[in-house]
Amino acid sequence: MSKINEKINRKDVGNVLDKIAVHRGENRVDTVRRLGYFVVALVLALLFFFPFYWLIKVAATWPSGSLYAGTPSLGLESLELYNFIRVYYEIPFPRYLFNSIVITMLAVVGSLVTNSLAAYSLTKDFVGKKVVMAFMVAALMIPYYVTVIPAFLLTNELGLLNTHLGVALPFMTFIIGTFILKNSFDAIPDSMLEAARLDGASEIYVLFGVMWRLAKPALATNVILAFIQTWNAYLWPLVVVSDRKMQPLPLALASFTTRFDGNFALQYAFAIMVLVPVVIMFLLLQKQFIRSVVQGSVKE
Amino acid sequence: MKDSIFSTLRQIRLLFGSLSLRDLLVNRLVLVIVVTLVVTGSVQVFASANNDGHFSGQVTNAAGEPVADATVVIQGLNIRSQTGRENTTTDENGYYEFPNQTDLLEFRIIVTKEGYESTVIRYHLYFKGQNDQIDVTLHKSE
Repeated sequence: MSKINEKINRKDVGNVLDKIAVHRGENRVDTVRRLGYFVVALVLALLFFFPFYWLIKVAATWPSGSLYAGTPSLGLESLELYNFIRVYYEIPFPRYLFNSIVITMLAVVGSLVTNSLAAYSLTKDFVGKKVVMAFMVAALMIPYYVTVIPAFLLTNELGLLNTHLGVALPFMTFIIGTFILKNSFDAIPDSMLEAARLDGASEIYVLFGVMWRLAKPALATNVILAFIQTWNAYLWPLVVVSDRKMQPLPLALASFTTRFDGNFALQYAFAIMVLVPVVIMFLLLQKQFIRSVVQGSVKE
Repeated sequence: MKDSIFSTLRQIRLLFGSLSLRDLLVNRLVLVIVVTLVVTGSVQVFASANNDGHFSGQVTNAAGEPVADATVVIQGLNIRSQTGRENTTTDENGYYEFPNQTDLLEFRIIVTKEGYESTVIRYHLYFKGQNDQIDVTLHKSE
């Protein structure tokens, strides 16, 4: 081995060792930073999850008096389903569930159709389009509570008080949903729609057969938003429903809370029974929901 | 007019024709609905097969020997009230039974016998009229 090689080798080795040291240091800093993020995220996640945990813990406690007896604890001593059964026997839960499902289905299907039609029309150029858009944006600024009395009078005129359709009607369209769909429809190339028309497709087929297939994430977002706002609606059903048999779940929950004031185990059990369908719905559609939010944030 | 109606109908048929039966039936939403219906149906079938309201059990002492002639009382519990009491006595083998308790869901069972401490147990069934059995152990009073 020549001396030149020896010198080069020593330098190379030194350089490599330095680089490794720097790299290790970077890795260590990166790992510590990631660990920090993880710990913060974990603490936040636990903080957000705690109310739900408490809801489950109280709902799963039987007898409910044991909540106040002895030393309070955070642990889940036993998982007792009795409170849910008691709720089932105390109120006509299947009837309320049926009401909520029918009202929500009507609102979801109705909002998909009406929002799609509105969004499709807004993808076209026509005289006064900007005025219509401005009008829709302005309508967003009107507080919901202001619209309740006119909507009630109209529903009364239509003879839809105490009916599923009467409760679902105002939820059958919402402006945010129209704009979400409009943005999604705008992204579809015109050439594709032209090709469909050349193949003999009508405008209805272009909308529901072509555009719907290409705008699934936006439709899923629409479904989720319509589902959540209808399922959780309280004020509007309170105004239009006076017949107990026609109450949806949130109204039933409110009257149940009044009736069993102080019995937290039953109240929480009922709250979980109301909450479960929403959670299932979100879990089923979360991929589309997140995809739609991400797509909406990027403008290319 | 006639042509446009036929054209619309053809388009609608085309619209639904593009959906396959597999698309409609094999998805997560349908799976959740099917599982929910199957579980609910199974529970209903099980409940309807076991809801004669036959509630029974055996009363024994700490040594495991049957206690005859013990008085067993059950009292239904509602959320804010109590229902009427029903009582019976154990036979020579310590067995007791309450037939036709089809409205029973949550209740208190009180077992008394001279020379023993009376025992009170709070109990619940999982559906009204569930056939169930609860054995009670009595301890001698001091």
